[in-house]
Amino acid sequence: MANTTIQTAVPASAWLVRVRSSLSVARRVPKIPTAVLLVLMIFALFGQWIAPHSPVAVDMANSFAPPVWHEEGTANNLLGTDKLGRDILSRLIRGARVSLSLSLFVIGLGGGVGVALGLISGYAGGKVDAVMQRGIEVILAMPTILVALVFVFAVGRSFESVILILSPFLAARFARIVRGETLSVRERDFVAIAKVIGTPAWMILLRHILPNVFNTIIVLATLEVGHLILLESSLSFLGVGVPPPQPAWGLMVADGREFLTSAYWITLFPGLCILAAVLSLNLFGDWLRDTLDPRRRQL
Amino acid sequence: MANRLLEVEGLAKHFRGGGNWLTSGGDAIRAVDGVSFHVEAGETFALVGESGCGKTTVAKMILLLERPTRGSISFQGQDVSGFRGGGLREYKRMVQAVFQDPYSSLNPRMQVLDIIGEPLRVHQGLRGRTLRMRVGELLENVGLNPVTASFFPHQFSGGQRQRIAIARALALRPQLIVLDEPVSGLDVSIRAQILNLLVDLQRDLGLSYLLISHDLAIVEHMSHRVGVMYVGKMVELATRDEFYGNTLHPYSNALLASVPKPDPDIPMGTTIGGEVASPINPPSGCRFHTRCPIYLETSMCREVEPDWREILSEHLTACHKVEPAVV
Repeated sequence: MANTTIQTAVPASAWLVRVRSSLSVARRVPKIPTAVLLVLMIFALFGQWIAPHSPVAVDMANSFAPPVWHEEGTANNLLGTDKLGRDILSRLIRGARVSLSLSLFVIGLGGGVGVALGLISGYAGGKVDAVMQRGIEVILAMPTILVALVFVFAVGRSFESVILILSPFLAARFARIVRGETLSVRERDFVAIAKVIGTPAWMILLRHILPNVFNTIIVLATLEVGHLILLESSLSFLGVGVPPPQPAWGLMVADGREFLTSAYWITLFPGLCILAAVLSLNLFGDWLRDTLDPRRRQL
Repeated sequence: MANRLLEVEGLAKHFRGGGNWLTSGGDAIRAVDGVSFHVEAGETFALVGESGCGKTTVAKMILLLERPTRGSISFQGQDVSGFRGGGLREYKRMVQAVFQDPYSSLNPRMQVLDIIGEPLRVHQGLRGRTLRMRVGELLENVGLNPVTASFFPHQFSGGQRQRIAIARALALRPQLIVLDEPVSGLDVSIRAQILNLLVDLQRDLGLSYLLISHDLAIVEHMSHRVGVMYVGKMVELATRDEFYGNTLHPYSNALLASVPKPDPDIPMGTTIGGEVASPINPPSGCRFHTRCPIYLETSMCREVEPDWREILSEHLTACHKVEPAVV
């Protein structure tokens, strides 16, 4: 094994080792995905000062203006305008906030609850597990869109209601997968030893099982962001998503759908944004997973 | 009798066979079926047998990882199943374990400091500097450099990992350590080091070991008394010298004969024919009669389960063919 040098090496101080390792971790951050995510984050946080126009200002005289590189394009609307003459670039920048924060809230709320339920269900086993899994199956069997329609009609169309209705579905997916992983990790010897020691169950879950299912959670979370952005667009298309004047990428794709042949830019640019966000998140998630795994991290 | 630290009486564990609420369950698997022994303070008691004979299940019941179907376990004269709250904590402080596979018994996501520090955190609430100091001491006790406290398990070899597992078991100054095949997962060249470490620790700290092994050479090296199990039952129990010098049960004899000798001129030992009997449907009468070299078609062996008798002083066995010398 590579560690035969451990005993003979000059005993470096633990502090030095830590500094060196964090430097090498920082060096290997994936540059492009991180840059993309940073830009999107800046858009989401400071969009109102960056966007050249108001994202909701209607200008019918200027509708369907093409992007700047077309003959009729103007520098005033770099990426063109939609059917109501709203500036696409401004809507994309402001839409970052809606799309990303919606995904983050749903991942945070639904994913958090789902991970907790999955851990408990997998670790407790027996009747607790059976009851929880039947509940999760009920949720997974429900058609998301249909339930969302009913819910939003009942509660009213808002950003919050979209979060509230998507979270349980996400929680069910997380709970199912985390439970499966938990089942395998809890059979490992270090969990048995922890029980022998008398470590309380919550500590076994947090210190032994959670870190060992973290890979799965990261991968699932990054995949689900893309899924959520698309789900939001479906809901918007059906009229139960984020309320219309607010720009959201999925909504923009849905809006431009009927003009695909005549004005591709209405759909293309929000589509590219979704692609960039999802791809960057996946690559960033891969890096995060590798970094959090001590076996892949080299000192 | 004087210093019985751990006493196991008629211990049994039956696992329910396959089948769920739709199908009726199959036959129970009688992994352990009435085992009695005790471990004295400061000694090593070895539990020997082929794989599948229930050794590990006995260990799991003692470690409270499995609930016995029947029988009792007492620690310092108190019934373990009655422990609650503080008593249970105290039992978990005094009884620790080292498992076979050092790759599975250390959490790959934890630093050595946290692995060895876990029992200290849970039981003594140690934090920060005091914890670091204590873990450093423990690492030195098992022959590792205290600097390695900040390393992760994958940075160690199998033998070093097993040392870490031993340091963790020592952390709370326990009285009994259950060693479940402590060196089977290691390279032969490392085994002696780990075994000598265990022997030294026992001498220095006055530990008791329950050693579970299928390796009779290791058992001879480490143990004071030996118990042999076959398909969930104890077939022979004696002091080490008695066991290795005056084996009574034919199964123990066969086990000893099958140990290869480190001399090419001595022919390979004889092996026992046949398969280990199934604990789902153990043979009637004496469980070993299907493979027994001295079984002579007597209905006695086939139909009557042999009694667990003390043949010589402190030498018990369960065989019809062995006549008691002292009554």
